[in-house]
Amino acid sequence: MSNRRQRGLTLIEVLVVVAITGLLTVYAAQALISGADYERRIREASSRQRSDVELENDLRTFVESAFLSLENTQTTFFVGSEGLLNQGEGGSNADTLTFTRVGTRLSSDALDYDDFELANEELGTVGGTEEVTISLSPTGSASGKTGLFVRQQNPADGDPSQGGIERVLNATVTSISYEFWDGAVWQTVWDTRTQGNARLPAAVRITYRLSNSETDRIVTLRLRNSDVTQDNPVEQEQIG
Amino acid sequence: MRRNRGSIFIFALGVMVVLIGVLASTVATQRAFAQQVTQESEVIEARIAAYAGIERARQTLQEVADLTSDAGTGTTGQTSTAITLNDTWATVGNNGDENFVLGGSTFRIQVLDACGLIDINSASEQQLQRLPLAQDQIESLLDFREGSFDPRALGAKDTYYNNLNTPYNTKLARFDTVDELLHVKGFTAQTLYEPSETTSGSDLVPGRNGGLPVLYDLLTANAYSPNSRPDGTARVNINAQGTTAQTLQQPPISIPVNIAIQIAARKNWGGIGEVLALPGAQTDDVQRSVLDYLTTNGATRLTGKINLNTASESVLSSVPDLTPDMVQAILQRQSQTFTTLSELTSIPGMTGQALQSAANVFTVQSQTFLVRVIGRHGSQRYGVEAIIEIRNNIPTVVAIQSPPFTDMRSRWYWQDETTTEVVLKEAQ
Repeated sequence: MSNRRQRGLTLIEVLVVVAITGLLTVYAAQALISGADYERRIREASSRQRSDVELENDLRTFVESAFLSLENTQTTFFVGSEGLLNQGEGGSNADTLTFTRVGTRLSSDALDYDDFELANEELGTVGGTEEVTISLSPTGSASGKTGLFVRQQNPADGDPSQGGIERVLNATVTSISYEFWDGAVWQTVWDTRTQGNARLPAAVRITYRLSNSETDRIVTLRLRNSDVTQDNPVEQEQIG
Repeated sequence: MRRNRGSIFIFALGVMVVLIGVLASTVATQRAFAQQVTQESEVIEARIAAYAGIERARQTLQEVADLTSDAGTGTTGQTSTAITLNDTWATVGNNGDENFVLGGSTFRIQVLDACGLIDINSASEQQLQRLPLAQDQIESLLDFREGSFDPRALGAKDTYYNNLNTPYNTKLARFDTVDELLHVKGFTAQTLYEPSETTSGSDLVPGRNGGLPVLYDLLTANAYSPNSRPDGTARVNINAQGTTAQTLQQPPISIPVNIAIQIAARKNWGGIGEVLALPGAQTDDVQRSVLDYLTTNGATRLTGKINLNTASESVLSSVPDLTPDMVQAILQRQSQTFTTLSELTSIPGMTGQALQSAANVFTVQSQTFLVRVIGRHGSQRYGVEAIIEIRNNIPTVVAIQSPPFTDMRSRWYWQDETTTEVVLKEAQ
C-alpha cells in the first residue's frame, strides 16, 4: 500500500516537474537568446560610439591645447593648409593641421628618476612644447597604412617636415577638412607664420567622414589659448 | 527511485544557475557601460567647471586692469598701480580653500602674481645659485636659453643633446613653460617637483614653512610688469637717443646736472641699478628719480621683474646681495604696500651693492597672473593652470595648460577638502 502510494505520488511529481522544467526551459532559452542578442547589440553600439567619441576626444586633446609662445613666434606656430605647410590657392578647406601645443602629462613614475640621461632613455622627452601634425597623408613613410595620421615631436624644433613619432590615430577616417574661426568668419586656411601678429583661431571646425558612414560628421573645437573673440577678431589683412 | 528524484532536482537547479548567470552578465555589461558614460560626462562637466573658475579669476583681475587704466588717465585720482596681496585677486577662492558651487559642479581657485615668482628666462647665475640646483644644472639652464653655440664648462649644447638616446636640439631661446626645464641636462621631474637640498655652494633659499624648497613653487616662465611709473605714466628710457641731460632734470625727476650728463652720455645701460653706482648718485633725490622714473628699455612691458609686494620669503631670498634681515624687513613692509620702488631705500641696510642689485630685479607692479583651478563634478576632477595677462587694460587668458600631475591638491598646498562654500548657483 505504502509502495503504491509512493508510485502515485511519483507520477504527479514527474508531471509537475516536467511542467515546471518546461516552463523554466522556455524562459531560460528566451532570456538566453534575448540576453545574448542584447549584449551583442550594446557592445556593438558602444564600440561604435566609443570609436567616434575617442576620435573626437583625441582631436580635442590635441587641438584644444594648441599654444603660441608669448614672445617668439619662431618656435611655435599654428598652420592649417592644403598639404603639409603649403599655402593653398584658396577656395578649398585645409586638410592638414600642424601646430605646437603644451601640457603633456607626466607619469607618476617620472618622479622616480633622478638621472637625466636615464629618464631620457626610458621615458623619452616630456614637458615643454610639442609639435603635432594631423593629416590623412603621413609626414613620413606610411608603410601601407591608411587613415588619419598624427605626428608628435617633443620638443618642437620649428621644422614640421620631419622627426617625431607618427601613428595612425584612426584607420576609418576617409576624409577630413578644417576651418578656422577668426572672430568674424570661418577661414579656409590659417598660418601664424605669415600673420603680422601671430594669433590662434578661436575655434577649429573639423568635418570628417568615416568609412562605415555615408554622411559627414562635424565637430567644433574651442582653442583654449586663443585670445580671439567676436570683440577682438583677427584683422583680415593678417591672414595670408 | 530516490536517485531519479535527486537528478531532477539537480537539473532544475542547473537551469536556474544558467538563468541567473545570463541575467548577471547582462546586468554587469549594462552597468559598466552606464558607468563609463557617466564618467565621461562627469569629466566634461568638471572641465566646464574649471573653465568657469578661470573666468571667475579673469573677472576679479578686471579690477587690476581698471586700476592701471584709471591711473594712466588720472580719472579716479589713483596715485599708485602697485599690485599687492591685499588686492581682491589675491584673496579670491582663499587659496583653493573655498568651494564655489555652480549647479551640480564645483570649482576651487587660487590666483598668484606671476611677478611674485622667479622668471627662469631672466634669472641671473647668482640668483639661480641660491635655488636648489647644482652648478652643472645652472650652467646647462643658461646654455639652453642663450643663443650662443659654445657650451659652458659644466653646461651643454647640441653636441650633448644630439647624442642622447632621444636626441633633440638645444632651444637657444627663452623658455615658454616651466616644465620645458625637463629638456635641460640634469633636470628631471624630481628636480622640479620634489623638495631638494642640492646647492651649488651658495646659501639655499628657505622652503615653505621652514621646509626644503621645491622649484615648482618658485618658478615661472612668463612674468611681465608694466614699464611705467607708479602713477601709470611712461618711464624715461635712458638708453633712447632722444634722452638728454635736460630730460633727466624735468620735474618730478630731480638729478643734478653732472650726473644727468653722465647718464645721458652712455646709451648701453644694462639696468637702472648701474646708474645708482655712479659717484654722487647716492642721494635721496637721485635714488628716488632713478628708481621711480627711469628705465633702460623702451618696451611697454618689463620681463621677469619680481614684485616686492607679492614675493614670498623664498623668492626674496634668491635675490643676490640681499641679507636675511633685509628679506624679513621687506616681508614685514608688504602689508603696508610698496607703492613705489624707491620705498626700498627705507629698508635698513639697503644701500650700495644691495640697492643696485635690488633696483635691477624688483618692481612694485605686475600684469601677469597665474591661476590654478580644479573643477569637480561627481567623482571626477579636472585641474588647469592658466596665465592671465593684462593686455590693453583687458585681462586676457594667454595660456591654459594641464598641470603635470592628475591630482595637484597637495602640490598646490590645498586641503583635500574645502572648509567654506560660495554658492554661485544652487545645486539642483
